[in-house]
Amino acid sequence: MAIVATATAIGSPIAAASAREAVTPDSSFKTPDEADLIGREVPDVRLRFADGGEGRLSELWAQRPVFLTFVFTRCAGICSPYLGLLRDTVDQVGGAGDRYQMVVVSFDSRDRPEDMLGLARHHGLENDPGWTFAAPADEESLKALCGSLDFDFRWDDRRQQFNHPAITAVLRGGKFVRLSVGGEIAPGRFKEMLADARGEFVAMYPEPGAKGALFRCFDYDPERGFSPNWGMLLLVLPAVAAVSFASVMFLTARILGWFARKPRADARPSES
Amino acid sequence: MSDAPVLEAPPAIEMTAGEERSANRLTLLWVIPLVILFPTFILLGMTLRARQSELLPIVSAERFYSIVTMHGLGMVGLWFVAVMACVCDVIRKYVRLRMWANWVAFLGTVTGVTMLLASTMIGEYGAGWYFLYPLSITPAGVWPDWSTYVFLLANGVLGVVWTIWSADVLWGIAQRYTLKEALGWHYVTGKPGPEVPPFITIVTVSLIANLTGLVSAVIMLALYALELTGITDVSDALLMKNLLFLFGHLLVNIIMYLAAGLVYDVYPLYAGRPWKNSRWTAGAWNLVLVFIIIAYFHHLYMDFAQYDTVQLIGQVTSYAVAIPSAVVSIYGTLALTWRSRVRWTMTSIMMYLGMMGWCVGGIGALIDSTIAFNTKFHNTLWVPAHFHTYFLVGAVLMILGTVFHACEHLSGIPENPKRSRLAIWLIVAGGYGFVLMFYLGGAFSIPRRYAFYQHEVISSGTYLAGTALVFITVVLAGVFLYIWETGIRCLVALKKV
Repeated sequence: MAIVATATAIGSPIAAASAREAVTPDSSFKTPDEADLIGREVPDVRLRFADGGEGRLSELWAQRPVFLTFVFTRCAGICSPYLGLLRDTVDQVGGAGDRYQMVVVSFDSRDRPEDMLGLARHHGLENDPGWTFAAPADEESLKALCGSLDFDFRWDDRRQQFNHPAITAVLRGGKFVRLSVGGEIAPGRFKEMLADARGEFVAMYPEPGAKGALFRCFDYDPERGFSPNWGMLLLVLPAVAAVSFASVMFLTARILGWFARKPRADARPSES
Repeated sequence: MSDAPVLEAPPAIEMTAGEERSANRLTLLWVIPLVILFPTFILLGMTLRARQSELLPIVSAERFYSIVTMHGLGMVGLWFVAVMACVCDVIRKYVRLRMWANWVAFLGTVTGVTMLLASTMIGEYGAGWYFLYPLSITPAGVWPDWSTYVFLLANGVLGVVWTIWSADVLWGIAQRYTLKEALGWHYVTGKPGPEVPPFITIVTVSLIANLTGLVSAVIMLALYALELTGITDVSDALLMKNLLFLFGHLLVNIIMYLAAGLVYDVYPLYAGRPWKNSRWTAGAWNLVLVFIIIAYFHHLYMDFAQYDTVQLIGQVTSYAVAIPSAVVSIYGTLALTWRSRVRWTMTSIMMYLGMMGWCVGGIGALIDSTIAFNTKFHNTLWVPAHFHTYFLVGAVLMILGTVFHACEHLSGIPENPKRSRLAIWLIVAGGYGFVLMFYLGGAFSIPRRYAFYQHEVISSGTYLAGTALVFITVVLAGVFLYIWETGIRCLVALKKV
């Protein structure tokens, strides 16, 4: 299996670390595996929203697909930069609050709605209807939500920080659809995840962090549709190779036959 | 018939007595694996139907799929080498072949088949003969990793030796004819040229197509190697399926084309009339070369990610490839038979019935290659119905007829008409009964590739499987009788040569 590159809360904000091969067992975390999560039901937990209201996660996914991100407001590492990058991507893609809903949930039980509002303000998203900032209503809801998505976070006493991966999970109707692990989601990738969440066709994609196929029949972009990939040539190659091989073979046989029949130039003429 | 002037008759190739003996010995040696493996693979197939009919509940699902793999791949491989051995035997009178290539094919095939048997029967490799990606390399603990490697390696070995074999036959043709002559283009254009037997045209077309399939297999195995060695983490499933069916569809069709080619050359000996090349014959077989390479798209109708245009091309070319070759061949066979005093023997009856069986199976295939029907039929028993038809009561009959022809000729023992007719009728009657159960299964929407059926849901699947067993037992009795008749002649001939 490929080692999935993940950003951690420790050190450089966008530092990539090998989660599955982390050195310190007590502070290391496991990165969720998309293949294990597909189709899994996410519990309909209670949330305290940054605007002071309360509600359930299902109220959000009932209307449109949800892009769910976990952060904690005291994070000195990846959380805030990650949100900034996510905001830039969402701005480029557009349609938040209409075709999908961005939901940022704190996994730190110390975080209150006011803390989440501060984080939203920091990114200029406090009045954006496409973004919802919230904290779980209680410890049980927090555990259930994080557990359902295999979101693993560990407290590091030495640094007084949580070690955690930066992830965004896409949910449709309360079920897991797609996962992004790492520092940034490129707009193309984001569109693909959105298409998947909306039940539209998405071409095969590699597991997050894995090396993609060298050759494909075609590429797929949710907006532009299909376009042929170099891999298509691999389907033409066998016929071209076989016909060329046969042509060369017949030509070679003819040339060799011609040489075999040609009288030698230095041969003495027959005396008769 | 062509109006092209006949410049010269194709003279027979002169062989020394030693060359003749050596070639005959190898032809007879090929008969041995044929008579051992054919009933063995039938027994494997019977095990599958016995499991589906609940007569053999002891067979686990994992074992069922490993048997499916060996039965399918084994039968396809067996009939490919059988038809190639027959082609080599028949074509020797027109062109000179190299014995070493035939030996490489023989030894490589024995090695490859042994590896396949180990992989499937010991290692329980069970991805099916089509070994679709990613199942083929994702055993999920059902079979050990070594069996995957052995399976892929076996395919590699068979691919290499069959490529050498095909290239050698093409080289032999190339030494006597230009490519245009071999393809019969002078017949199509009406220009003068040497007389080229239709058999040569069919073999040339088939082997060029065969090389296409083998190159496709090489590319597919290379992509597997890239993934298994960690250079890539994943391959494109659609690309892999396209490559697989480019190879598999060609291989299966080439077996039938070469078998039909044998009829073009051997059947006239019994009909007492020559089967000459013509504008229509050469034209039809050249169309086959163009269309057969892209007709495989009909295997991917269910793949919604494939371009719609490609799907339409698949339907059009499926018709375009089937009609010329089948119509010309069947019309030719009937014309050759009509009002001629055909000497009806084991060989000629098998060839005649085989040609008609090819037509019956071909109609079943055409129905399945029609998109509107395919959406209903493709995942049902209709698919094994049509390919068992054009194999068991089509190509197999033509090949068995040629094998008997060679053994009878080399041994000098005339056939026993009673036993040979009994063998034929057991195989044919049992064969049609057997495939009828598949067709009925398809019509009743019984799914294929199921190890067993939920009796409450699909009871007819169970009953049809049980009835099919009765018919295939009849086939097996006919095959044993055929083996007795042919085997004796083969052993006598081996002593003689």
